[in-house]
Amino acid sequence: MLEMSAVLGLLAGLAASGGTVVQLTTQIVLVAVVIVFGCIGFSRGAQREFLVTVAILFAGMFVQVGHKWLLFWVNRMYKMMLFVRSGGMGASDPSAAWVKVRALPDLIVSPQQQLYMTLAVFAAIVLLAYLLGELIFRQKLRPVSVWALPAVFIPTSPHFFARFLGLILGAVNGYLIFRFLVPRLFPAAKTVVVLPTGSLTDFLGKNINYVFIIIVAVLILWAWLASTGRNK
Amino acid sequence: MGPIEVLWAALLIVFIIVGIARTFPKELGVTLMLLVAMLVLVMLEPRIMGILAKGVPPVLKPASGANAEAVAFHLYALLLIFITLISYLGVTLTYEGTVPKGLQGLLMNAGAGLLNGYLFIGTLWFYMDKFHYPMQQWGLIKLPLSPFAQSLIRFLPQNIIPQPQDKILIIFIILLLILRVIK
Repeated sequence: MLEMSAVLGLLAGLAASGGTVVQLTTQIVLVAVVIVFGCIGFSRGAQREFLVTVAILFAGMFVQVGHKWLLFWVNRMYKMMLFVRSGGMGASDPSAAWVKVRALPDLIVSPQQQLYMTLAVFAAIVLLAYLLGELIFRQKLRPVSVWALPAVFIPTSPHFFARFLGLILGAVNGYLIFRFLVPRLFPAAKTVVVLPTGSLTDFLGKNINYVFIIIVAVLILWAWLASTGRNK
Repeated sequence: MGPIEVLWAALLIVFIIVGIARTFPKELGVTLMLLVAMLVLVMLEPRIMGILAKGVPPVLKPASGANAEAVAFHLYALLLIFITLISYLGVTLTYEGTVPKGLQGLLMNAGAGLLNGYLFIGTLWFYMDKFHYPMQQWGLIKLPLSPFAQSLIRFLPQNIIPQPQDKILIIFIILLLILRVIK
């Protein structure tokens, strides 16, 4: 961990070398996350978002309480997979193969690996809830035109329950996800994120071809759907 | 002949007009055939270049100016033009559906024509560039290219499609075939 003086030195060095120092407070990031998730909730509706809220709470508790159990079973399943790959029960000497596999190191050992496992399980449960919501609640929400947006916030409006509550629940989900991720990813009181924007620009430049191809593919698909009447 | 980018733009406009006249379902069939043509060219490239590396066959010498690059370009161009002609003039591979009326339909038709023009003319230009503009000996292309034309080269289809191009083209062809057979 860097001390405060070292952090200030790093920032000063970065500014002196022509880099840009952008300060983001946790509150700004939190507000951005909440707004983005609120918008998602607005478009998905309250029912779907509620399922995600339940899933986030469950996933948070599950990875907290069941951490040891999860660790044991992930490592166990890993060994079982290795055993099967080495021939399993069909091997010439299954017990010798099992002894050999058991002697191998576990898949997840270090705190870093355990953190990745926790995040992966949490993300899998939450993503599953997002997808399940789409499958279970198939009924589409009433479309809202831009001019009718203020009506969403009036309790007597037909959009109020689905859209407004969706917005609130989406924002809550964003907050919960943020609340779960930040202490695990950035445990220190202050985090300095050095973003090498030069290579980021390179990365974006290199992948612009894929973006172009995807846009063309989407346009073709959109036109095909429109011409066959499948977009209705 | 004027700068290559002007010629390119003029031909694109022709393709857009053709697209508007033929409509999107027919143009999408041409798109599929153009992708097949591009795939054929990509797959044949090692073989054609392998043969030409051994020397230009005597029968091709008078027509090509005895230059291996010129022969290669003319072979590629003929193959591309042949497949494109078949897709336009032969039994057209038409997709199902009707184009919506109004501006949306017009944009769809024009867009499909533009895409086909980009694929056809872009592929021709790519191979012209690759084989160092053998058409300049006929006075059809004026070299050196303008800075604008040089900047356009990196947007040609073969420079846009990432490697492995054959696999990506196959994926696109399969997707277009799926759209063709879905009822």
